[in-house]
Amino acid sequence: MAGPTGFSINMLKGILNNISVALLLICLSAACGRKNVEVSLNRDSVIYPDYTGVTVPSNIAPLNFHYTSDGIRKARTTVRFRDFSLSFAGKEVVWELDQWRSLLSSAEGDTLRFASELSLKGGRKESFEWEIYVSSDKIDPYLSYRLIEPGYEVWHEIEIRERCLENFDERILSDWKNTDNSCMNCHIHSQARADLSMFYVRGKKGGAFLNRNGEIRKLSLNVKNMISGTVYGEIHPSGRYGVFSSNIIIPGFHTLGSRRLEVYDTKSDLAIADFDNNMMILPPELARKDVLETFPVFSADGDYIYYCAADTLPLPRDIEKLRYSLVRISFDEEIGRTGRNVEVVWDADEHDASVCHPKCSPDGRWIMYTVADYGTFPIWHTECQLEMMDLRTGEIIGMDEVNSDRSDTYHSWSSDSRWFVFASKRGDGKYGRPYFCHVDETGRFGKPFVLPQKDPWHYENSLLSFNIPDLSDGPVDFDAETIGRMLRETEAETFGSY
Amino acid sequence: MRLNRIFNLFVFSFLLASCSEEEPSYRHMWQEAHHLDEAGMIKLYGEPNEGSENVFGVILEAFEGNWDKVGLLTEGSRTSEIHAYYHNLLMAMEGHLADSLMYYYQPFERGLFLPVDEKSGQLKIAASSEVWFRLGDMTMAEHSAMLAQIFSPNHFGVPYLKRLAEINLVNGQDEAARKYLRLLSGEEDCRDWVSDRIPGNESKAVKAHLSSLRALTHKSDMVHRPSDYRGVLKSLLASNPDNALARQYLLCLDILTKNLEHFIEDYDPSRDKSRLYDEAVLIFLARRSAITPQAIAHFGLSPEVLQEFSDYNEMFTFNQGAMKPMQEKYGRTYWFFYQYAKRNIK
Repeated sequence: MAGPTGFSINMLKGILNNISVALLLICLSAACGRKNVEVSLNRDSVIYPDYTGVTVPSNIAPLNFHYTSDGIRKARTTVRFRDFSLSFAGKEVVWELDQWRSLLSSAEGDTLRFASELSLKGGRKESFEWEIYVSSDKIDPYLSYRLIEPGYEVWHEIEIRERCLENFDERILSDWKNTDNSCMNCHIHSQARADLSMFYVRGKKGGAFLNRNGEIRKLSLNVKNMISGTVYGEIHPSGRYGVFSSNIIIPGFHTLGSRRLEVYDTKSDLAIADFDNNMMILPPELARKDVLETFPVFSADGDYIYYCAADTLPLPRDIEKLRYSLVRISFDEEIGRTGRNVEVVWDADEHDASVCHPKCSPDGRWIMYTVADYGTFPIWHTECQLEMMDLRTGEIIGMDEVNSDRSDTYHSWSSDSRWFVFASKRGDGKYGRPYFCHVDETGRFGKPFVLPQKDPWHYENSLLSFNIPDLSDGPVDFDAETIGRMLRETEAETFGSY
Repeated sequence: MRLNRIFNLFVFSFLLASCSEEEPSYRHMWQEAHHLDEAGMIKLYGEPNEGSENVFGVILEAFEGNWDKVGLLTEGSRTSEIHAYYHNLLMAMEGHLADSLMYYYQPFERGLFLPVDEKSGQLKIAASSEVWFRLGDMTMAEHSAMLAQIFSPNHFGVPYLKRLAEINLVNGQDEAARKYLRLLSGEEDCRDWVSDRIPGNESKAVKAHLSSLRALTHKSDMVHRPSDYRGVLKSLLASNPDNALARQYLLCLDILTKNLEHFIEDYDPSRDKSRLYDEAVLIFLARRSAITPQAIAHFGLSPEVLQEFSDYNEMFTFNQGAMKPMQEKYGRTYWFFYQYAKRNIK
């Protein structure tokens, strides 16, 4: 029945029906666009980062993490230490900094116990207990690294950063914005000293930036008779010298997709820089035409130079036969001269493998290095592993509890020789992340842990690799603006040679 | 009743309007895929114009595998490396690379492979993984896709993440694939794409697609320089002699780089059939004064192509090498390209 306006109940019903249909259609179309996909990361560990069973220093930043199981409905995490107990509800565990610090300082040399209870889809429940051991050995509180996408041979917008390990503060030491998008090579400290470090900014106005005794110098470490500017190296504990390789570096691609990149040297020699007299020392023993010499470092007392050496071969054809031994030669700091005899410390033929990146612990007890099947660039070699030698006895210490099934390499020691950090591609195999590991006075290792991040999902969301993580006992005394200004305005100091 | 009809009309107009939304421009799709705002787009690519719209389109459509659209976007007489690159790839996928080669702008080997370095420019780097991916070289494809990501304005691009995910699925590196898939699962338009590719739970079509790509990959290892295109193509063919794309690319690479010694070494007259190849063979033989009955028989050269080659040479002599008349008559021959095409790139 229609009223005076011509409007009837049936019309109203019709309109309401139409509204319902329209709303239904709109809702359906909206729902179609909101399909959720859960991509499991298929982790070995139920929590990520995997902090179960790790040994951490008492001054480390909070170990925030998340659960990785599929279909978590509820999660509860309880931390207990003596009479302290704290519970977290939810899939992510994020600590208050003060709470974490106070807990760790009281737990030095002891164990934190965790209980995890998960309610999963379908009514399933999971619970498990795990521990974190808190070492009383504190770690050097700063870490520098280069952040870069693993783009093999081309760079764009890279940065060297310094992170405080006691919290989440991070600052930029040098960046692309201040250096006209130049390539930057990694920042290394001598025995983790904040007052003795260096890195390179490449390009026309670039140079080696030496941070020594509170002064930053820009150096041109390239003289006649060197095959290139300096590349890999280390600063002598006295600060007066640096030992470096100069290399003709060739990148090559593997055709097998899983192997990716190989980088090799067609030539390489060593040179020693005298920073006090601006002279490069080019000992003939370290520049043999028939030998590729690279990755030089000083012994803890500065009396030896350790480096890697291999016979030259036709490359890239024979790349899989290219094996470097670890050798050493004496060095006299007083006169700035090397000895004549090269001693083999680790024989590539004997081990049927190749060594690179040696680093001596500051206490003089250990030398740690990377071992791969062949070559000098193991960052894509899944077989490459860290290994350590007792320099008092020559005994080789296996590091199975430290190594993974992906590349583990580019380590550096803490100033007290109780910690080291290394870059590992464990997990996704693509992105290097800094892992810290405790080593006691007998050479026993704790389970390594990844650099803690404020966001527990940081590593899943990041497409950056951490290159050459290097520990330091304090913040260095420069920043990106200083470097940028020096790059533009300061001429690089030149060096002579003998 | 009339009000009811009006309301019906209103509802259906609304639904129709929501369904028949105008197709977004490629520029808009590019912007979305790279998480850029409008100001960023203008800063990087300038105001919208037909040229950039076309380039965005061809790159995005190729990533999505919409080769009919790639064909439309590259047709005409375009003279850019990117267009030559995609046009050649499309022709090769259809098995016609050699026959079509001289009918399109050819910037030498850059019409086949786009070299990537910090000077290449973002768009070429973005495009550069496509050929490697289709050929089956997953290392080079990954390298290019990584660089595309790196050189993107926000170091982010959905097409590159998709490519990286698929490369890792092809390589059996599921953990890395999962990382990229997880990142993509946060993108509104990618969820179906992602859910079809969860390792161990791939859709039937994706499984078949990955398996066909896997069949093309290298089966043995060698280390090569980034620009050793020929070495890579030969390695792909050694692993899979039926890789038709690699075979066409190898021969056309020899031809475009004018390296006829390599061409004769790689060419198999019993299997590789094209007028282009006959023209290349004739130059090779003529330069050695070796157009003999035995050679003609060996390479299966027809009397027509021999006669035309003779005519070409006569006309060249008659015109004293003047380019214009030669181009008018023989501009679509390899003879003309070989004799007149000059590199304007270092």
